[in-house]
Formats: sequence, C-alpha cells, structure tokens
Amino acid sequence: MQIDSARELKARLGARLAGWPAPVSASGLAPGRVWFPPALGLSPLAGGRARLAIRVATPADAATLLEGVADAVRAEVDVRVIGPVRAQTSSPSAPAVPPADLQRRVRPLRPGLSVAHPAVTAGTLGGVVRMGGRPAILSNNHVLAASDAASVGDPVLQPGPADGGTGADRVATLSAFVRFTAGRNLVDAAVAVLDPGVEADPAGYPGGPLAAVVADGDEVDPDEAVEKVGRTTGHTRGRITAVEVDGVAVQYDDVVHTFDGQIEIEGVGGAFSAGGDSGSVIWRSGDRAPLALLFAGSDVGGAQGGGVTFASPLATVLAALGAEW
Amino acid sequence: MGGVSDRAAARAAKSALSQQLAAVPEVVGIGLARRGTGYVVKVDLADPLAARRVPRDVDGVRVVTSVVGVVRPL
Repeated sequence: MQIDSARELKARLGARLAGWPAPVSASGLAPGRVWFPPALGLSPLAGGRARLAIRVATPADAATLLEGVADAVRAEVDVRVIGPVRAQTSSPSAPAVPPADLQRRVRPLRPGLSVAHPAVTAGTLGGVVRMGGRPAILSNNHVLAASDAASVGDPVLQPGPADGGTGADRVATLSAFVRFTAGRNLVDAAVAVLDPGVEADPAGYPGGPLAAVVADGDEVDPDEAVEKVGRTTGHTRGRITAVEVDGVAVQYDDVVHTFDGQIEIEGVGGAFSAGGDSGSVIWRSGDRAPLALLFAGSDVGGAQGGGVTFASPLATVLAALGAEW
Repeated sequence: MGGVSDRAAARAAKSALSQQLAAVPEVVGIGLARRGTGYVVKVDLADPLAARRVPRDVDGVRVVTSVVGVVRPL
C-alpha cells in the first residue's frame, strides 16, 4: 500500500492496541501467564509504497487486533505469529552457541549455520528472507555465489564443504547475487531459495527472533551495541565503531574490491568475527533490529587489537537483492 | 585541531577528505565515528606510517586514525 496509508493504518492499530484491556484478559491468558503485546512496524518498499508488518504471540491476538479492518487492506498486511518474544536483554542468559554445533549438518536450518556454494569453503547462513514470497537463505556473494564464479541455479550446501558438506547436503538453490564492480560496491550479498522439503527456523537466533523491521541505515549510530551468530565464532557481541564508511578496500583472492556506506564493528570481550562468519546478520542489542550483513574483517586494530569487522546495511542488501526480511 | 561536529558536518568533511586521500593506497576506509556528543571522521589505515599523510582536521571537523591492517572477506 502507499506509505501514507500504511502509516495511517499503523497509527490506527497502535491506538487500538493502547486501548486494549489489561493484558491478561486481552489474550485470555490464565492468571500468571505473561502476555506479549503485538509489534507493529513499517517496511519501506519501492515506489513510495510500504508494508505494515505485525508480529503477534498468538493467532487470537492477530484476530483481535485486525477486527473490523477491510479484507482488501488485510491482504496487504504482513502478519506473522512468532510466539512469545524473550526480553530484549535476554542474550546474556541465552545458552551459548558452541561453534561446533554450527558446523554440523543441522535441520531445520537456522541462522548461524555453516553454508556455502560447493566451490567455497564455508560461510554463514545469516537469516531466512523472502524472494518472490519464497523462503530463501541470505548470505554473501563470496559464500553462496563463489565471488561471481557461480551461476543462478547452482546448489548451496549445509554444512559448507570445509565442514564436510557434499552434494547430499544440498539445501537451497542460488537465486540472485550482486556482482562485484570495479567501481564502488555497496554489498557482498546473495540469496538462495530453499529447496522443496527443506525447513528453516527464521526466528532461531540466540535470545529469540529478531525485530520485524530492518533498521534504517541513517539511524544506525556509532557506539551502539550489536550481536551476531556465525559459523566460526558463534554468538558474539560488539560495538559499532564507525558508520557510513567509504572506500573500504577488501583484498579478495586476486583483486581488491572497494565498498562504500559500510558499518565498522569491534568485538567486546574478544574478536567479533573470524573467517567463516561471513554472511552473519548483525542485530542491535537494544531493540533486536536486524541492521547489517557481515562480510569482511581485519586481523589487527580495534580497541583490543583483535581486528575490526565490516558489514553492509541490511536495508541496502535487501534492496539490492530484491529480497524482503 | 578540529572538534566534534554534527553528523552532517562530519559527513561533508568525510567527502572532502576521501578525495584528498584517494591516492593513498594505505587508506582502507573513511567513516564517521562518535567522540563524546558529536562526530569525527575516522580514517582506517593498513600501515601506521600512512598516518602522517592524514590531516588532523578537515573544515573544522576532527580526524582520527586507526590502524586496522589488511581487510579480507571472512
């Protein structure tokens, strides 16, 4: 729908939500149960349009919230039942994610697992996005598309070959990637649509699902606390040390590609990333908003000398691929 | 030395500095960082010796350097 209509609907539903009765009766929960209020957000689309995203804990919450909304309008609203969302600061108590568990063959698929094109060693399954309405794996071009050497239609393996993945571990089919250019690049990104019968848990991040709406690149601020889960270092925490970083010169095998508009991160209490973590989705700790796609890093630098990590704004990545969060 | 600035001023200074340092191969990234309540321009370097080629401020905006070495895909 047009962005103004989406804003208007969001405001209307937000007001309705504010007027709901006491939480316990709103969802008809038994006394003592915790109620998780629905989350509303806008996802900007091309052409001045936007989609209203609603995330609810139970189907009953969705029915109540959308009562009286015309069917034609409902058809343009993205409603998903995501179950209870754990506290935003729950990650410290979330179970650790041993990297060895991320390097095995795991079904259903979830964020953080080892994946790769058959010609690549291993990278990370960053998240499950939608391509033309179909679920798809998000990662980097250099993970899923072998740095432009692959063709659309090629297989994607879980785990990646470096972790023992073979043709029998095929989970997805490369459907789009952003080719590198000799000029300024914005992303190192690719998506692969899940093969029939392969299931994935898009909400399977440490601490629970991420927010429904991707952070706007302009609102990402230095010093914000962030997290990621990746194939090599597992679940790590970091701090954004720079934004809008231009001229990031990344040494690929035999060529340097230069990137503009990147986000720089350093680890807190250890390195934020290492080889094999490429493709991880990075989220903001404060509100769990997904904000960037990890793709590169250095061995030195950062306050603790463990190197810095570079990531592309997720909104830019999704727009370049034509994918939806 | 320049001080901390708002994001728009730091962004303009970053653009000017990017052109100024375009021919310095040891510069591997130029971005915006926070210092206190404002923004500075942050220049990432592959080699510490290149720091002497980076000015300490641009148009009144403070410039800081950081040696990060070579950046590779992970």
